[in-house]
Amino acid sequence: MTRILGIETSCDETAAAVVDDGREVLSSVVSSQIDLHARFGGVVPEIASRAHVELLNPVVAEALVEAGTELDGIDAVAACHGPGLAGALLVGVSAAKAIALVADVPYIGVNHLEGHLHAAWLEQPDLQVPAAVLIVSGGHTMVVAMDDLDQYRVLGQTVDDAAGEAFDKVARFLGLGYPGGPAIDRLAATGDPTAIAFPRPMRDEAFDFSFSGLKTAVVNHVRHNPDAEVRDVAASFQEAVVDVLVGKLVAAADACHAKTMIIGGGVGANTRLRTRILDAATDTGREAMLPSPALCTDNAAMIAATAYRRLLSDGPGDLGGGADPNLRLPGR
Amino acid sequence: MRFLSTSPDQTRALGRAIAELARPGDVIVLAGDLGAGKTVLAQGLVHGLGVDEAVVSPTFTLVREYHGRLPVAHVDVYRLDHMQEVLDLALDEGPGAEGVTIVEWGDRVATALGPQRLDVSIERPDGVAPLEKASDDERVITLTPFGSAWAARLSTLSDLVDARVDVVVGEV
Repeated sequence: MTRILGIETSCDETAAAVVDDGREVLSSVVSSQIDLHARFGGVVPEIASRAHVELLNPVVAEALVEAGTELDGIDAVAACHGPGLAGALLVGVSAAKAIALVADVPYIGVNHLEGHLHAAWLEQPDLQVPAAVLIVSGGHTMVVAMDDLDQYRVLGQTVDDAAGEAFDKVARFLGLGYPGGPAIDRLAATGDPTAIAFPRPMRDEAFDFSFSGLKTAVVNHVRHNPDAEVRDVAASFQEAVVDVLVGKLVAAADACHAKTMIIGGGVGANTRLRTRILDAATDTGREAMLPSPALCTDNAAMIAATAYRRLLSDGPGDLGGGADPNLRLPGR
Repeated sequence: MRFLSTSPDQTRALGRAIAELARPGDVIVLAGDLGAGKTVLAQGLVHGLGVDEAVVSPTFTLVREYHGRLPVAHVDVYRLDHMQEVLDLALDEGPGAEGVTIVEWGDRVATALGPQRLDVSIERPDGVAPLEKASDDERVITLTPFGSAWAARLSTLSDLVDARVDVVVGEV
């Protein structure tokens, strides 16, 4: 049995998890789940690297306690080493290396996006490949073909804004607050998704995405129609995004002869997107795997699970390895 | 100096023209409402600096780095609520020191960006034409140099813009 401590600090969330053999999640702690604001006596600036420095030790300690293990029960320590914010990544990588040195166990650097690819298997270990995976969040929007668990290629990705970013910015423009994804999701449920024919950007162009222009189209529409029902604008905007996302996911599934369609990333919690992917799976005779929101959003369990596979295939990682903010998945 | 752009392609072309004047250590601040075209102008700037890849939004990661004729740091402070968080980015220590730093939404934190910079504001021409007459794509782009470094160079920008057949940006 191999017990891995995983650490994830690529962006806003400080997370740690303990996972056995890349499958059994003993604990998965994300900073927002515990009352750290109260513990530190005030509001913690979520996005500064300093916040990760302050949060990481208690989060790791919590993960070990919840897993019922001590540091000497850990067989390897893994950290997300990219892509992400440089300073934030370095906090997790440095901590993981230090813990690995102290515990005298291997350190493994893990690609954040590879973590998202493997998250679904934590909930459903018998998923069939080939699989087409849509990773869609505030920072990423891409479709990936997984021919096997460790064999994948990026088919396409956004050329400007990520889909989650478009949700956040449109929500702020419409005065719906933050985070924008859930706000639009809720309001859109009461609106008419066919009320406004927003563009479906790049729907017919292979696998790449573009959402910057769609955001501008929403602004233009509201400027010309100040009396437009906000719920109709939200529903029509969401439908345009979901149309493009589902269309590309199905096209990717066709291209790699996928038996399974998988979603990962924070936007994977969007109820309309989940419904439409389930429908598309039924229509095309495929299985759809929609991980729980906790596994869709950033977490360290997916980092520990991916690290297990890397340990098996590549052996221990390099303690001299750093962080790469622009780290990519292979392919394209 | 003000320009009227009638399309995203023209805004992109203006970005390319500004990029030709860029020097190591430059700071270019982009201001404008949501959907004004900051990303489009940034695409022109980054590609004009010789970077041959997609210019993906830096909103989420705060900073994206590229390597063209000069190193480029494309920064977005949209999500930052406190000046301290901008200082934490240590923009003066990154690739921007030897290259070009482009800051979207930077007007809100201009004081942290130093005395030598070029401010670029992108606005819809509401004051110029009534809403129903103005095209959705029209933008008034205003360049304001701070410090001596940019002021001298901007005088050549008009020539640069006029001399290029693919740039039809007109001065307002």
